[in-house]
Amino acid sequence: MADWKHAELLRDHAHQPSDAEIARVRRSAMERISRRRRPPVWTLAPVAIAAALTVAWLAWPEAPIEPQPLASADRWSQTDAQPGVQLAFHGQGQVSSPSVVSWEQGELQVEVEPDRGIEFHVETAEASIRVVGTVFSVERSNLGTSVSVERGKVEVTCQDEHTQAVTAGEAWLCLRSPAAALHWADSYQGADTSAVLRVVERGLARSTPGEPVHDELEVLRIQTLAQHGRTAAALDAAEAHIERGAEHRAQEVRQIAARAALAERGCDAARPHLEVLADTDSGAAMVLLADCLTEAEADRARALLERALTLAPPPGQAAAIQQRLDARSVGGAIE
Amino acid sequence: MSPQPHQRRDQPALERETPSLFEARWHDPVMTWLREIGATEVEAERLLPGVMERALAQPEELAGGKVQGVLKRAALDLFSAGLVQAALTGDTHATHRLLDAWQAEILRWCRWQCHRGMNHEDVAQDVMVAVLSRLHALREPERFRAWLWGVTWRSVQARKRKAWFWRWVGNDMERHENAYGDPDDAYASSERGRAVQQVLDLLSPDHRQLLWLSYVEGQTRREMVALLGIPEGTLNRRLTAARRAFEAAARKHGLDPDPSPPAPEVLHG
Repeated sequence: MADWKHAELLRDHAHQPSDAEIARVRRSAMERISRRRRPPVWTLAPVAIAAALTVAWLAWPEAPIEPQPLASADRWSQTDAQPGVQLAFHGQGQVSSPSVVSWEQGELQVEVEPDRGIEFHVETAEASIRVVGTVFSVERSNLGTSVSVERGKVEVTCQDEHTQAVTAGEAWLCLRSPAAALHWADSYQGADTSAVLRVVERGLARSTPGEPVHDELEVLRIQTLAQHGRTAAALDAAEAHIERGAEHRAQEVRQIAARAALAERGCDAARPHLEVLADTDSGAAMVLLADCLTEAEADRARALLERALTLAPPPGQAAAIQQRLDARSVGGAIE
Repeated sequence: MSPQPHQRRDQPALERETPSLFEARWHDPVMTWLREIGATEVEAERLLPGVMERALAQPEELAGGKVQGVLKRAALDLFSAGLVQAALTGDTHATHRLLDAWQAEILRWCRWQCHRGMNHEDVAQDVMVAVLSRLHALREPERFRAWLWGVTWRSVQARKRKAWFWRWVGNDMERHENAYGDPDDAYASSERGRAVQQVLDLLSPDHRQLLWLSYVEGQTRREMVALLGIPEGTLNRRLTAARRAFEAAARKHGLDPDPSPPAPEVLHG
């Protein structure tokens, strides 16, 4: 439908609320809701007395709590960390205080009764998991700490990373080290692309360019993007890798860049990569470069094809190269 | 990488583009929009295929630069459906996330539907309070947008009746200068902004809402039919009437850029 002549006038007139305006309206709405829920003043007196007694009770000095070890190597065991917090575990750790479990190895399942205001944390070497009212499990392995939420929501803070909300049905992995991302991708080859990319990105964020693990993770990201049809993103990542001067698996990255550039932007963009690859005696690159040169540099294209033939390509490829040479000898351009 | 000249993002050209290419092109923008409305990384990845599927299900309606709007609305609707389901089971955190995702939209809708003299922020508060306290009345979580639009509409009409009553009994307390009179809002304070507002104030509420949905939000016919629950023929007739009403009022206020071409009788998506 052609745009109506007044449409732009109306779009210009549409309001874009500022953050301050949004915050102001939201605050007022919340105040109205809380006023609705607020009980009559006379009912507050017993509540105030109860609160004062609770504060006094909580402030009363208590004997320090001894950490309670949790260890079960062969089977699942169960215990309560505090009323309303049930633990099932298979591994080892300890209840450091009623609201904190330090978990070292194995699987821990936690069920916190909702709507009771219970504050509870699970700490591992690389993660801190905060929860109010939920069912979730924590597994600590050589890869790191994996958190799966069955009901409700937890906040997971991995070492050196922002706090991440994990809601029902989701899982999150805190990597023990950047290298764990590589192990993870290796162990879960059936995992979907986005899951692999997420873990790889986090491994990259925790390592420094130039480190072997960082470079390997970059190559893994480039390969994953290319294998799953994200050609433009693969090309960007490959070109950034090359531009940075990373030597790790440079040839493979250059090949991905060349093919992605051909697919995304055509011969002009692919040519610099193909030239470099052709100089390193890559027969496939010579053929692609010859195809790109066509009549503009016909002699060079022919020379490239002849050189590719001398590199003893597999029979099928040799036949294809010969076919191209024959086409050129009669003056035809390569399709 | 910036898009190539032949790959304009607002030109879907689905007849030339396979679903996988379409998904590859829009993957990153959709992920960004999902994050902006508050989806976690995992939620965003889970919602992405549904968003693409919803857009690809209406290829004939995506022409004319509407892809971005369709995808954005699909992202918000699918994200909301999950939150509404959680909120209906008593998850208050989900209710607040739902409000986080919609609060800017609620304000925009209220501002558009309010006449001069009404305070759109008061109406937006009414709508937010309704979301927080009356969400349980929503029967179909996937129709949250339509429910919210209906709540907004009723809240505006209720405020309008209240304002009329207080003016009639002579109490001016309910009268407000809304933000169109805000000196910090350069557009609203401009001559053109005031003129457009005067023209809109002359239109019926129904005409105002149709112009918003069709020309500001750029909704497709299919989306508008689903939102308003009316047949497509009726929608087309009412939209034609809304355009004519706006054009007539615009001419009176000297806003018509080119008065010669008349509005077409039949509209096509």
